Amino acid sequence: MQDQERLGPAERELEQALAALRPASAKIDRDRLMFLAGRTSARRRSRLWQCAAGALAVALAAALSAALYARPAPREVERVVYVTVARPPAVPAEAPAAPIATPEPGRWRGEPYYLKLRDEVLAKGLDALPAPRGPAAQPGIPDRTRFPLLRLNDLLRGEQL
Amino acid sequence: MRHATTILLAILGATGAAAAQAVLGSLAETKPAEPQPEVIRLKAAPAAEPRPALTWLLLPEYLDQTPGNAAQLYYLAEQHVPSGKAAHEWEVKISEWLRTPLEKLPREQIRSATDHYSSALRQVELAARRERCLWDLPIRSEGYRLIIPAMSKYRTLARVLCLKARLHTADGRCDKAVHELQTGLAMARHFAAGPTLIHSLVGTAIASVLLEQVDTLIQAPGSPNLYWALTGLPRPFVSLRDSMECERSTLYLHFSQLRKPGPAGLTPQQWQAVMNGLWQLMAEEAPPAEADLRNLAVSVYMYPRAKRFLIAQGSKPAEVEAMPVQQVIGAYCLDVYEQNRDEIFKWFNVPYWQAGDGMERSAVVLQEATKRHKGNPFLALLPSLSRAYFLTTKLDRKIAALRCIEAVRMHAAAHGGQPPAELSEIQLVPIPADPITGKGFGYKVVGDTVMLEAPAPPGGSPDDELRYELTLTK
Repeated sequence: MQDQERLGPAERELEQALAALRPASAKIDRDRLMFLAGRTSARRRSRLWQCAAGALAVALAAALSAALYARPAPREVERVVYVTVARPPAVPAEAPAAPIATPEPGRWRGEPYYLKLRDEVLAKGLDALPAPRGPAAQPGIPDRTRFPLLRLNDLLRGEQL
Repeated sequence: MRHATTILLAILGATGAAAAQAVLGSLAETKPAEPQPEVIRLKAAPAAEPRPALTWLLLPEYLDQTPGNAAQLYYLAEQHVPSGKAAHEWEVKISEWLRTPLEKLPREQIRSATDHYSSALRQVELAARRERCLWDLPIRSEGYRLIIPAMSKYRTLARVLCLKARLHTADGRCDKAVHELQTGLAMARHFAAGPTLIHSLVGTAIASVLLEQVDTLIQAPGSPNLYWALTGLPRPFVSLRDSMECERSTLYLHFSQLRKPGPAGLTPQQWQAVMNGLWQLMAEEAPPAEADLRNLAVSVYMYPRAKRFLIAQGSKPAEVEAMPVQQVIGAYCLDVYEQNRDEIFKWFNVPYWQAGDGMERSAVVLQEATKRHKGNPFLALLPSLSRAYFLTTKLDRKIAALRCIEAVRMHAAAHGGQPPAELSEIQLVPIPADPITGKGFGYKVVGDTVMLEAPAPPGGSPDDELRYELTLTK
């Protein structure tokens, strides 16, 4: 009180102004916070996407250029048909020995389908026809299809033909 | 010391280079021998027309045929052709015996070797006398992916039939030799009637091998005159009509959406599927991703050219610009393909002697188109077929030439053993023309020897010529 009495008019005015102030609680503006977080995140993503898109574009351009330059030469379609009909068969390295030239290993993926076979035959003649696969009659072994009784015995023994 | 080594190396290098140059020069001067056409030399006696005239036939006659489908029996025969090392040795022997003169044939060895094939040959004998042969291959559903049954063993069987015919001829059993020829030629016809070009070529090859034995049979003592037997063979012996229709259509069988695209044409997705499918066909099962990449790259490459092409063909520029890229490229590729395809196939509608030049031109046009329309995957599906047409006609030429030989023998039998001075002198039977040229065969007589000639077609090799020399015996 004594102090109050000692205050001048200007100081009293200041005191009243300060007394009129109401303390405010420390408060986070949630909406603004979310906005700022979102914006920051979006900015980061945007840069990442731009970088990724740029890198992909460069990679695609490089791949297309490589594909254009490295593509196989166009196929020549002039084909000479040469049919050898009486050529003696070549001696094979090992049995099973077929006199007909067989395609290179791995040439056919699966069975020799028509388009490939036709082109091979037109280019190389009928020697390009692949040798048949699967079992065939073996010399020295009785041909059971010629002897029905043998087949019947096989069946009775439960063997498959 | 270092200088001496350098000088020595330089001398050695110069000497080596000079030696290499000399060797290369001498190699360059050595030219390969010019191939000569094969001359078929026959010695045969005059032979009159058989009585009745059609006593001898080179295909099974109607009365000998039985109902049923031959194809199943051929498949069965193929399974019973021996294989393995021993079989290979027999095949080598068979090839040798086919070139051995009749009088030197080891008959017992041949009988023993051919006996190994008796099971397979029996099936072929039955099949050859069936009324029809339907291979029943699913070409309509499979298109270019059709799996062709193995056919190489049928050529082995044809050679064994030839050897048996040769053996019977050596034994003086012309009737049995003709029976084997009937079997083999019927098999050739059945194969040639298959749906694909491969069937036609296999049939042609089998018939060609069999007809070589007619040369042998003619020379056998007391051999019958086979003029009417040869004349009774179908002409053409191998018709390419069915296989060419199939070839022309296979693209549309494979990609059925191309045949019925709907009123608005194919969608971009359908075009893309077709192009990807084509690239996969070309690249032997390339992974779809690779086909996609190639398709994309080719599209970038071809799009401007495709637009120009369509506009040049009459499409409105605005319409072309409005079309999706895949549609522009697909329409362009297919249009180029169809134009070139028909340039090739149209020539199969006329005889070879009229088609030969046109077919050669169409092959050149296709070559140029392949360069001009680089990257068009459809064009790679078009084969050059002129050689196939030549080979089937060459077979007909062989038959026609043998008819001429038999006509000469028939004429000689009626004229005291003397051959005609000109083919036109022969009045007993009609004389065929050369199916390759559409003109008569070259003919001249030198002493007792008759020479019959036919040239190779333009651009052909000496192997494509035909020359017979028939010496008439008493």
